[in-house]
Formats: sequence, structure tokens, C-alpha cells
Amino acid sequence: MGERFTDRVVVLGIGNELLKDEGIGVHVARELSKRPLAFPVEIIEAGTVPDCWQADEPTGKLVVVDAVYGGCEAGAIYKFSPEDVEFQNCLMTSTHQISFVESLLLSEITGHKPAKTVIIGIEPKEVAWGMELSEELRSRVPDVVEAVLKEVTPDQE
Amino acid sequence: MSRISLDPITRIEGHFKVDAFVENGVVKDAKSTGTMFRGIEIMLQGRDPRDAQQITQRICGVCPTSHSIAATLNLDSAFGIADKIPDNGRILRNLILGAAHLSDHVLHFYQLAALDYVDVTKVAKYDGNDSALNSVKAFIERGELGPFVPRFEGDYRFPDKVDQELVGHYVQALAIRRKGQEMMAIFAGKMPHNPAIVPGGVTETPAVDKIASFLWRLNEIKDFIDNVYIPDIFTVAKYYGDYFEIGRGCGNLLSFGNYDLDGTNPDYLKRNRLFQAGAVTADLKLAPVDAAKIAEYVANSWYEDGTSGLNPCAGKTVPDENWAKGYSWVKAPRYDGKVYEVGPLARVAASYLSGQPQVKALVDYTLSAVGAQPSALFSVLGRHAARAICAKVLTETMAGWLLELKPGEPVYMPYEIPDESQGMGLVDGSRGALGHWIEIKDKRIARYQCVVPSTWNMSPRDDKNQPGPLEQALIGTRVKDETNPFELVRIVRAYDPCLACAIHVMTPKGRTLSKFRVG
Repeated sequence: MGERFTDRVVVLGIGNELLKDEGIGVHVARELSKRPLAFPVEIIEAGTVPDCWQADEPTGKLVVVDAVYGGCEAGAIYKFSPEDVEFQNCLMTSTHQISFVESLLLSEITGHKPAKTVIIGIEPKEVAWGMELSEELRSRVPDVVEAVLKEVTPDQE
Repeated sequence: MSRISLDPITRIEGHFKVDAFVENGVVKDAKSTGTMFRGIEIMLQGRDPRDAQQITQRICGVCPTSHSIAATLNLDSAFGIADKIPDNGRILRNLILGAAHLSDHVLHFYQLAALDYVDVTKVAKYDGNDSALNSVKAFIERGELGPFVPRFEGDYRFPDKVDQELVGHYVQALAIRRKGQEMMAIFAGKMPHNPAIVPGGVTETPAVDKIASFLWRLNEIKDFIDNVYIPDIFTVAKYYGDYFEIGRGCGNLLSFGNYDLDGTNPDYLKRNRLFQAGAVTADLKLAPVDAAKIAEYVANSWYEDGTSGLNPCAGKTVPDENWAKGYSWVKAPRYDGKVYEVGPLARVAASYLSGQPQVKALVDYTLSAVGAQPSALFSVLGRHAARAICAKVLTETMAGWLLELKPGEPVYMPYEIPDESQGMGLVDGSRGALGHWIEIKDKRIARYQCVVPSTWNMSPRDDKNQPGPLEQALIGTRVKDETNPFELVRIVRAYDPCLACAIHVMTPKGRTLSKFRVG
């Protein structure tokens, strides 16, 4: 499972934390920032600006944490890459925002596309106004953190 | 009569839609519908007042900085310190907000609006060496238009070379947006959702290395505004000149102004600001803004009837999704009982009429270059030009603010939260007049109300059945091709609508990800 990283490794927590479980990515990013990590990784609490991961230097691996409707029960954790799935309703032209999926497409044009992108998705229970996660999701935060750490911990050799 | 539905116009699932009812090719009626209830006011009740700065920023993904300024001005006023913010604090707030607006104006024009005019598919014929254009070409050759669809077909008017050049600028604009965000992070600690703009001032000090690093990026953006953005506006004007006559709107304009040049007056609307506050009527008469004349009406919105006609300082948010006449979650804010448009055009008009020299010079130059009268500014292209003028004035001014900073002097003043108080924070966000109102009891938030720019512009009919600004801009518009209603979408986007307040749960097609489960 361990990889070797030469370029930057980024964890991107996205979602709106005013909408309960929609904010799971932000809660996980905050939890991760509290962990003392012995290797370099950029943890970005992107919130509602999911395109803010790009930088001048090349990105070796991008791990995105977000709520995902995947059809399983609330709290289910998924791991997939953007090539595994086709997204719907994520393209903009008129909104004020650039969605994550768009930012990935655009990064191909600007030459910033990460060498590897992994999405850690969590099935939400409740997307409604409120700042707390549902009990189902709160109890899964440590497992999501572990799933993310697995992706960004470099090979020890 | 046929109905053209643009839903969702923001391409985010179901937040905003426009229905236009067309007869003999002309829009007879239009309804603008916000399809999502915004529960932020209710969420704030009972909290520490200082939470308002952090929480209201998270309403949205692109206007967080404007909300942080409005919330902070609101708290400064409630805490009785609005006129006591140290100059360093005032200037740093201006710089952070300026960086946000530069980034936002560029994003709006290139990533959101330009694709209604630019035919991306022309890049298929590109034969040069630009790597960005070649990767766009590769998208097209793979049959994927990627971020450039869905779009309408037909009325694209540029020659191939111009289309290709503008797609190149679209790509450059992405880098400019990033520079703007970096500028914000330099003084605001982080971006998005800055922690640095707080009641009393800011939490960051103006170290010399930060000033230099901000200035370096500002110069790069200035170069882009002067040599790319402004010329591109004229290019659009050259080929789409009829859009100076399309989308006139309600004719009244309201600006709260922004960028305090002097912080000593506790009344924000009387402050000397870079862009001036003012209420402008269709005959181009300017009057001072009186916040007491603002009221929100809900006769056609899904709220309890008893909450209609209130000034936001006494405003209520009591949803009633069964209200039969309702067709929007957006309330209808009105000024002096009348319909007013907000946004860059209002800022520019109020500043122009009050004699702001930079704005005056730029507006006069623009009008003479395109051979138009000031009334032409009430239009789709007028709104785009006004936004570009705002960006240009900012880039001309911000470097001077950096020189006014005094490293080593205070950026913040301490304060106490009063047991009971009221406050009001009024400022133009990049999309226009933004107001926050607070009432504090027992050192907690008893009432909080936000009236955001798109609430003004996208509002539904009010209690007197007056259509909102966007609705008025659509009514009477001739639509050449009802299956490709370019006119309508160009009118809507020129207002830069921002009603989303962001839900973006990723939704893969097919919806079953069980084979990707890891926990």
C-alpha cells in the first residue's frame, strides 16, 4: 500500500459545514490537522471553494474527502478515482463556483493535473441546515481519517 | 405562449431557475425562482455574536470575503467601535476585500460569462504551440467539451482567431484567480473563509515581506486587467454591440459603496469610500442612501405573510412552503418601496454621478470608444463594462494602500461585547449591496438578518406585484431562437447571480458505488 512521493501530496476536505453531513470533508480535514504526522502532506480545508488545491508546483497525489451519494447506507466509505465514475450535475458555466470535478478538468488544460487523484467519499445521512454531523457520520470520522492516512502515508523503505 | 425554462441556471442542482413566457418571439412575463431555503439567520440565533463573521462566510463559495467584511462592520457597529478601527486594520481589510473582488470579477467574466459569446469549438482549428490551447483542442478531439458544456448553439460571432485568443485568455484567467486568492491568504491567514477580519480590526500585521509579496501579485493582475480583460470587453462590444440595448432592467440602482478611505464616521453610508454609496434613479439623479428605507416583502415568497414589509433590523425568517402565491425562497427587498438593481453598475453609476475622478474618466472613455450615451450602461454589456471598470479602479488604487500601511503600528483594538445592542454592516460585495443586521441580547445573537446582492437582483414580485430587477430585464426581450435563448442567458449572467449557497454533494451517474466501498 505504501507509495513513494516526490511531488506534493494534498488532502482536500470539501463541503459546506453549514449543511450538516455535507460538511464531512471539512470535519475530516480539521481532525487530520490535529494529528502529528511524520511526513509532508498539505491538508486543505477547502470548504465551499473546491478548486483551491492548485499550486505552481506539481501535485503528486490529491486525496479528496467529500460527501458522496453512492447508494449505500449512511456512513459508508468509498474509495475511487475520477476515472472510475461519470459525474452528473457537476458542470457549471453560470455559477459563481468551480466544482471539484471541473477544477480537475481545468487542471488538465493548465497543466496542473495531479499525477494521481483519489476520492474518499462518505455517504451522508442528512443534508440540511445545521453545523453538526449526524451521529452516524460523526462516529465514522476516525475511520475516514484512517482511510485518508492510508493514502498519504509514504512507503517506509 | 411558450415557456422557456432555464433550470438550473447556475448548473448547480436546483438552486435558481428562470421561467420566461414567450409570445411571438417576445418575453411577456418572467419569473425568477430561488429554489433553496437559506437557513443561516435561524442558525445564528443564540450564538456568540463573534461567530457571525465565521458562519456567514460559509453561506457561499465565492463571496465569503464580502460576508466577512459585512459581518465585521455589523459587529463593529453593534460593539460601538465602528469609528475606532486603527488605520492599519481598515487598510488591510480593504486590501483583502480588493483581492477577493479582483479574483471574482475575472472569474465571472471569463469562466462564467464569456462562454456565452466565445465558441470554444473553434479551437479545433488551432495550429499553434500554446500548450493550454492544444489541451483544449485535445478535449474537443476526444468529443468532450469538458467544462465548456452545456451551451447553446448558433449565435457565436467572433472570427476563429478571436475565439481562439479568448479561449487562451480563459485559461490565463484561471491563473489570475489563483493569484488573487494567494493575495487574500497573505493578509487573511487562509483562503477560503478567512479568520483574520475580526471586529476591532484584523489579526495580521503588515510585515514588509508580506507587502512585497502582495504587491508582486497585484502588479501581475493589473497587467492582466489592463492588457487582457479591458481589451476583451471592447472586443465583445465590437461584435455584440446590440447587447448595449438588451436587458435594460428596472432603471433604479442602489450602491452601499465599498473600500473605506476614512474610518472616522460611524455611519458607513456617509463614509468616504473608493466607490460611493448612492441611490440612482433612471433619470441619473443621485440621492444619499437611507438604510431605514429598505424593506423586504414576501407576498410571492415562501414565508409567513406576517413577515412582509419589515426593515431588516426587525426582519424575520419564518418559512412557509405551503404559501400558495409563493414561487421563490428569495424575499423581495425594495428601497423606498421601489425596485432597485445592485451590483457593479450601481457602484459605478453612484461614483460617476458623485464625481469620483477615476470612475468618471473610465466611464467617459468607454462610452466615447463605443459611441454610446450613458443610458446604454443599463444593459448586458453595460453591466460587464461596469464590472471591468471596478476591477481597473481597484488595481490602480491598491498599490497606494500598501504604501499607507505602517508596519509596527496597531491593526486591532480591544473591545467588550455589550449585554444588549443593535448593529448594521453595509458594504458592496462584488455582486452589489450587502447588508447584515444584528440584535444582541444577553451578549448573544437574538436576531441576525442578511440581505445579499442576488436577493435584490433575482427577487420575485413584491406585495405591490412589481417584478424584480432581473424579471424586468427579461420582460420585453426579443428571443430569436427559442431553442437557443442566448438573449435570456446573457441577460441573467450579466447580473452575476449567486444564489447557490452551495450544496455540492458529488453525485456519480448510476448512483451505486457499492463496489468501491472500503468501510
